[in-house]
Amino acid sequence: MDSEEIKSETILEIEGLKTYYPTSRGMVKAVDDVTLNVHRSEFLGVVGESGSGKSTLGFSVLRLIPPPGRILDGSIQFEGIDILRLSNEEMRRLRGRKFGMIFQDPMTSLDPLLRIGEHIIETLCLHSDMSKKEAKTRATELLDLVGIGSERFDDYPHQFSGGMRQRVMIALAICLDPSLVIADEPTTALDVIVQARILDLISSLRKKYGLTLMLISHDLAAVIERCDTLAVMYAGQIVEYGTRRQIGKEPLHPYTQGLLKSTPNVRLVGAKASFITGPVPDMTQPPLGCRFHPRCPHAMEACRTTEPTVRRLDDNRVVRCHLY
Amino acid sequence: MALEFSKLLSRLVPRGQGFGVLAAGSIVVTLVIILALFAPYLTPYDPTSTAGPSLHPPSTEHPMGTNRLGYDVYSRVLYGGRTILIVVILSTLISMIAGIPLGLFSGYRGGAVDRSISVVMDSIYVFPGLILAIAMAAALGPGIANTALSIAIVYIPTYFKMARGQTLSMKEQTFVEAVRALGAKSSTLMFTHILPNILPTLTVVFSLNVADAVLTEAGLSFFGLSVPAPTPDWGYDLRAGQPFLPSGYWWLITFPGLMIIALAIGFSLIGEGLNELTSPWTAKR
Repeated sequence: MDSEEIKSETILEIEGLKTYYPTSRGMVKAVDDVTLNVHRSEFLGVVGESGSGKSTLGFSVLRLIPPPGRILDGSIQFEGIDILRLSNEEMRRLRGRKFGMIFQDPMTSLDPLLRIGEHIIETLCLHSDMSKKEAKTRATELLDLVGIGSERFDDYPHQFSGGMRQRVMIALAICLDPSLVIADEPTTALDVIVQARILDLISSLRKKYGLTLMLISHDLAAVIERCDTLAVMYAGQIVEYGTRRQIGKEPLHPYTQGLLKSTPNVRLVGAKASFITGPVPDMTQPPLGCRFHPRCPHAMEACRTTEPTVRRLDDNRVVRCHLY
Repeated sequence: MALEFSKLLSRLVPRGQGFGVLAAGSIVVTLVIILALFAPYLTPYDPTSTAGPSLHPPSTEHPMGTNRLGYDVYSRVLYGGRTILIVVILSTLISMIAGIPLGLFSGYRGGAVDRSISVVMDSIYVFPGLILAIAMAAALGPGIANTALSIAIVYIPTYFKMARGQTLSMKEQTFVEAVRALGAKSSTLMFTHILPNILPTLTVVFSLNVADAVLTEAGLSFFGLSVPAPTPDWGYDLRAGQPFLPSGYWWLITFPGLMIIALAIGFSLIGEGLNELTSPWTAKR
């Protein structure tokens, strides 16, 4: 259970990453100075509200930022390769083979005219010199593995429910045994029961194959039960990072505390979930000083004027707040 | 298979008039194709040699009469169908093969490449179709291939614009993003993911364009710019018979004229029918 303490080699090192989108109202600083490490076989959860930049972070790693958005600064090292320096063609070869991606809305993320089996075969053949026959065998294995059943090999996406389609997406994402799987809100479009099943499937696949996983979600409660480490994002920055125990037991940043308190708890019958007041900041002009200060219950004078720096409390505990 | 087809039919019929329109168009076009295809079995006469007396009105031997040279009009109408169908099919193929991949590429690439190709296409598009075809045909000279090419040039921009526009919207779909995240090559994305998804729309453009191409071909041959005489050709016969109309020889232009109208309407009906069936907005109205 306690894989928390065991740290293996770092496979992804993001440093000082800045990804901005120019708009008519000005630059949207979607990801602004993010530093983050992911270790092999780690399950990292990235949580935050809508617009906190967590999806942009995931897409930056794959270099799939839709133009005119672009990565302005920082570096991303993946298995010792500087991703931001690769040519487009080199990057394309890594996608699918080294990186798997699971998208938010399974209803629209599969080609409606491609049979699901064909889709997996196409992906397999694209990145390896597998024969059609071998690919077919592998594809049927994968469909069984994700709980769809190989007898549905020839079905089209519209013949599946949302949860089943997400299983197809998972099969596609892991089919080439990638080093890192990024799941961008994989359960947001699904109902609660299916959500839990999909997350369980992802967790079990991870245990079985030692997958390294970066799960992006706005649902802290769903993620904290399953991940090893957690990064909390607010307004384009990581405001707190730690193991799930540290964050679950002793959240440091007022924003993380707010998120945890706003999670409904079935054990406390009658207790009301609280919430964080105020709107998400306008990312073309983030608040001066600490970006969370307009909504923070502990805001001090310093919070309004100076931006807090990243405080590294120990090896895997980071917080960005004037209180610490 | 048969069951699936009948299920499909029952689902299509109550959705407005689309199905009926499509069926009517298909029947007309199929009839013309059968007449042209089986011309040698349906008429005893050679369409390019004298078969009877000059300018003979419709009779049992010559159901549509004869022309000035004594050629059988009925045979000329049947064989003329071959000419127009070959030219129209050939020209449509050429413009699809040129226009669709170009539109796909242009829309997918975007940026300066897209803008330059679009400008070229737009400058062809602003020409009135028949004028452009006449100019092209006059430059290339008569013959089936040349005529087909002249007509093809007119319709390339239509396929281009449609394919480009559809690609632009398809490019934004999540599944295209998802396929890209799996490391697909641009060519795979364009031809195995985007193209099949825009094909239904292009089918509608295709059938509407074919109707238009029929009229353009007839126009070209009316001006003597299509196949060389005495090859049977509806537009040419229309032109040759026209001076005799005031003298009461009505059968010379009536039958080729009706055939042109029938074929053009047939293709239009197919296009309209497909359009109504494939787009939910017109079907509901």
